[in-house]
Amino acid sequence: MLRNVFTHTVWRRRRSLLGWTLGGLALGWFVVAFYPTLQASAAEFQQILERLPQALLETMGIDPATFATAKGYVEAELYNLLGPVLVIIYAVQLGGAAAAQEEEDGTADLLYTLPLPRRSIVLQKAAAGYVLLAALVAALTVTLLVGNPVYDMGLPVAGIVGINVALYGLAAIFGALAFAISSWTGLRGSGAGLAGGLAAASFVLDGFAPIVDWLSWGDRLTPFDWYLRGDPLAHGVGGWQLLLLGLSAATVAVGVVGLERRDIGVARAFPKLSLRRRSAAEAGRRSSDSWMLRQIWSWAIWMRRRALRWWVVAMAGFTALLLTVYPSLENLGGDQVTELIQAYPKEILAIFGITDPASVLEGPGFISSRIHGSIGLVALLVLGIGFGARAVAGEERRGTLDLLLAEPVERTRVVVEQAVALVTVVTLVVSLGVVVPMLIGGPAVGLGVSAEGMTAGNVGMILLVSLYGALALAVGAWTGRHGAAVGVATFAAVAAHLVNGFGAFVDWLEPLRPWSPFYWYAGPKNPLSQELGWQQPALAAVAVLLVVTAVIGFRGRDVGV
Amino acid sequence: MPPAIVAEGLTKYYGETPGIVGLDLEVGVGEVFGFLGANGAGKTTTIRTLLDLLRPTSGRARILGLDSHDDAVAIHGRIGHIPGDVTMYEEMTGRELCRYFANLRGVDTAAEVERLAERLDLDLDRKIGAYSSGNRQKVAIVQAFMHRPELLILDEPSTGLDPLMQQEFYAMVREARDEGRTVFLSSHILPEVERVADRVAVVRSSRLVTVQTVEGLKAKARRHIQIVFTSPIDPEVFRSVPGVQEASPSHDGRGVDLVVAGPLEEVMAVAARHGVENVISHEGDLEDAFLALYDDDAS
Repeated sequence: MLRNVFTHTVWRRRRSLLGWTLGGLALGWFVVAFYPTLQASAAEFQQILERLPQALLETMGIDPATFATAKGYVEAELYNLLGPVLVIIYAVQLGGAAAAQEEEDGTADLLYTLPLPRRSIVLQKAAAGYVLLAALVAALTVTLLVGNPVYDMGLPVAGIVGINVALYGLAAIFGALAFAISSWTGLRGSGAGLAGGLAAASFVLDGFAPIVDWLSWGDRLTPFDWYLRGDPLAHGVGGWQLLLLGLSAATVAVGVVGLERRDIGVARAFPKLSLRRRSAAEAGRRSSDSWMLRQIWSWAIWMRRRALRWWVVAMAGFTALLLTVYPSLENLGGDQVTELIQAYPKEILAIFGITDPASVLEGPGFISSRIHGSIGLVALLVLGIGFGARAVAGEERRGTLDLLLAEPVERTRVVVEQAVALVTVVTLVVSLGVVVPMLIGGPAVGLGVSAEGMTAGNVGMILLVSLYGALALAVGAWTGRHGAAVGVATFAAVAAHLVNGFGAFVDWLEPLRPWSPFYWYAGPKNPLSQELGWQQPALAAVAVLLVVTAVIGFRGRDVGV
Repeated sequence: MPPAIVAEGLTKYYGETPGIVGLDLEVGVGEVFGFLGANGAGKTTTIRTLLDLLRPTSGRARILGLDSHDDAVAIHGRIGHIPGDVTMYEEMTGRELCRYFANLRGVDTAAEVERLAERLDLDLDRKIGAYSSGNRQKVAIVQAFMHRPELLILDEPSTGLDPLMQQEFYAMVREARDEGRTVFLSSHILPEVERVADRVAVVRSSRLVTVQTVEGLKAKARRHIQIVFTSPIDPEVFRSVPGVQEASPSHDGRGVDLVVAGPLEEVMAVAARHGVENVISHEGDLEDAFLALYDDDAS
């Protein structure tokens, strides 16, 4: 493990790799294990699906000819959204870290003054990233290889390998992109964030291109489209998958060039989102007497002000895109679709986070299934959990917590104010990124979301994300470990999501379903059709309880040990 | 044999902010060379540029006769380095870190690491995250010395060490010189540099002010001393003594506060005639030394 930079990098990430791999195994097995349930009503599905408009199905990643088969099920379930989300998040983290983690940690000056070419150091780190990513994809592959004979799925082994190579290539593209951006800028977080954002944009483009005229050009330009081209689950690895791998390698090469030319430890300024240019003196004056430095909560937000602006812009852009696409959806089949979907077993759509299938073509359901039920929510959870983990454990890891606690402030106040900052940040992003665009653009495109649904859905989303952020905060406050905080909160969120989705039709999960915060949030309807009721206070209560837990844990603990 | 370090018009700007400007410097082989300057004067920028961590805006540097950028890898193989702001892999033990770096250097340093750790009284088997900052600095020293490099480039190396360990460290520096190796060390504390260095460069506001031998610097340094006498004394007595720049009363008229440039010989001779009770010397602080140098500069 100490032999070279490659082995050392892999070794340092062994714990988080274990967490990610367990996540991959859990996700893969969860999907595989429910195949028999689906199989039981295969014929019925087939019939219904064939009558649904092609375009609608395409947005959901469903191929009616094969959905009820093992192949269609696995593709729609694992390889349409959840699998890519899992591996891409891991990949962009690895990519950003390979390029700039050591600079952020402050170890770069030791590393880059060793008698090794920068190229060699950074290529070894990139290679470690590729290997770690491969381990995660291998976990998914194993679940399929094992589940295939156990549940008699009849998938070709070459196909299982093929689709996982495809998934690997897809994630490797975005991982390499994160690596390249971080290599050129020296900014780890910005590289990972920007690459993740591009992945989300690519996913959206791929989903809408077939049904929206003015987006049809985009289909062929997104890695999400290339990834399943040539049907790798049927035919194994093909040219498109190799293209993904090749492009990823080329992107890494571009990154290496950037890193070789750059000053180490001097991060290039990431473009600031500000409306006008300020002189340095003016900016200094503004920041030093800013009211935001008066309280811990406002300071915590102030520290993340740049990233926050990007979050708002990205969310608002995404919402705006959905709103402009919405009118095209109305031409998809209207009454006929509604009628058909009424007959559609809710259980299966529930797995997609669509808990109210009849509404998929209506404004609330359409927006919900893209923002409140999938990508938007995943992104916000990443934001919220990241914030919660950083609030105490992250500060502790960076060594800045000692400074803060040496001030005459109660530990209780630190935790509570960080929690306030968390809720404020999530509220800001949801308000400015989702609510405001919907209020402005919704009426124009005839979205038809009721005031109550609008309130319930968005408040619910803020509270749900705050809840998992508070869980990360609590784990961090008790353990002081940033990785554990992120890991536990992520695992809990995914588990609760799956319990809610699958609980709709799996007998033994059903009693658990009412206990899932995702059920309180989404319940049997889509979030934007929710009513105001006990659900929102319940979410808030759990979040508050977690903050109280965090306070208790943090008060009784040695800091920095 | 080429000089250990040659800088020719070495300049590094961060955007429009100067880091170091037009640095010309030559450090001979076998020399202990002090690089002195206040915080933010450009010391770390210079060192990081010499190490190819930063790329010069203009000018160039040659280390051990090799180009600091083109031959960076070869240079790195022959030097040891302590960064100014030491952060290390917290989850590794000191021993693991040294072994890792030795592996990357392709050398076996196990015995030397052991010897150095013993000398610095460092427990190598604890995690770096659990070390105090002094112990972390010791690990940084061990990894820089362990492969017995020809040139040591050390950025404020004695930071965090207690006085005893500082002594030990200076001894290590002197031994390295006695073996014909070269040490380039930065500091913002004049006495530290005086103790070990043969020659000293002073930087201020990103520019080189002067290069002096330590004796030369000492001769120029202004110091602050207080002399307390057994009976009241008139400061006027000292005003005419060569080297005295200021003399003012203290200790209820029984003492004088003096600012002296250069040797104290004559001051002491005069003082001795009046019955000295105590001499308080404010170890030549940097500000004073600089003031003398800047005065020099201006004239």
